[in-house]
Amino acid sequence: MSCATPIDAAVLADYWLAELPPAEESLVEEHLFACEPCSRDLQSVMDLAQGIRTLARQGNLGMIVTQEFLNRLIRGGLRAREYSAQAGGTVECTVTPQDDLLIGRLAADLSGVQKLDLSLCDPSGAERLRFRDIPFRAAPGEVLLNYPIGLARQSGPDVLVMKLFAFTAHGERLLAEYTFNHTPS
Amino acid sequence: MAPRIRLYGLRHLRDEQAAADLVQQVLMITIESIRAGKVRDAQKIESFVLGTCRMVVLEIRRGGARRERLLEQYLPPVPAFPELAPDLGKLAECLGKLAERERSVVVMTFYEEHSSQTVAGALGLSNENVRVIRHRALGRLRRCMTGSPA
Repeated sequence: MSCATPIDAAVLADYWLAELPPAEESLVEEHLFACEPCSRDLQSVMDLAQGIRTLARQGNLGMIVTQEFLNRLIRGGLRAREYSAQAGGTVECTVTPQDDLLIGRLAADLSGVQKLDLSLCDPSGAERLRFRDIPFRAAPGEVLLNYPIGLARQSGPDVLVMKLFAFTAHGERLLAEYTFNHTPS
Repeated sequence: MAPRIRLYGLRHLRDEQAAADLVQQVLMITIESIRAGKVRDAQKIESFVLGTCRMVVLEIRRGGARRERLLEQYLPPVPAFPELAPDLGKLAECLGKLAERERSVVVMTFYEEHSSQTVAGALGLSNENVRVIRHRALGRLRRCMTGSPA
């Protein structure tokens, strides 16, 4: 069974998030009740949302988070191990079986920055991973990285150098560098 | 029809038990109406069910007595559309392929089903920008999950 006029997944997501105007929402609902393929598509959007929630709770999504989002995870019962690092600083860190999230707080002066990249490097400077164009607000003066906790658990002793690169009207520059010395618990 | 009523219930009531309650009530009303000859045209059954869903949801939101009575009864599991649960390993891989902004927007959006306005405020973006990023990210995620070309 197929649909001659399938509803776009983005519209289904808007519907699920209650972000459609009432008239459009009504039309979408009429279509959904008459159309099994589109209802299945809506179910798949909901399943995707559930999968994302599960992965976020498992702490295995390497991503930049906001303080508000971190607070919600903690209120939801997750235990976060946090390490704060100043620019140029070195932090001794580990992870224990009781931890659900591993958070790096990278202090930085973000004023005037238009675009920001976070680079994860080994001590020789070789880049392992780069988070490009990360979302940030200048006001908190820090970037919060949710580091995949599964990776940290599997890791032996390791040194990870994090570098923030700022892009301004004058070009790219190294904004700050942080060193994390990881020791297994 | 039951899976579609359930989806409607989940969308409007945000609660699995309340959605199951809705399915039972709507099906009961529909069957009674068909028996009473109130729904004669089979083509219009979907419109009738949708209208009944809307009415019952309003009633549930008002905390109607009918819901309270039904909630005290055993409600059998409501069928959902099967075989759609995503492979979490694959989903993590596909999320990892998104741009950082896309990943932040979809995770923050779907973790607690936040509006674009809330996510925009948290990330220092505009509402419209969040919706565009979310739409693009969802499309990329779905293509990645189904193995379609990017």
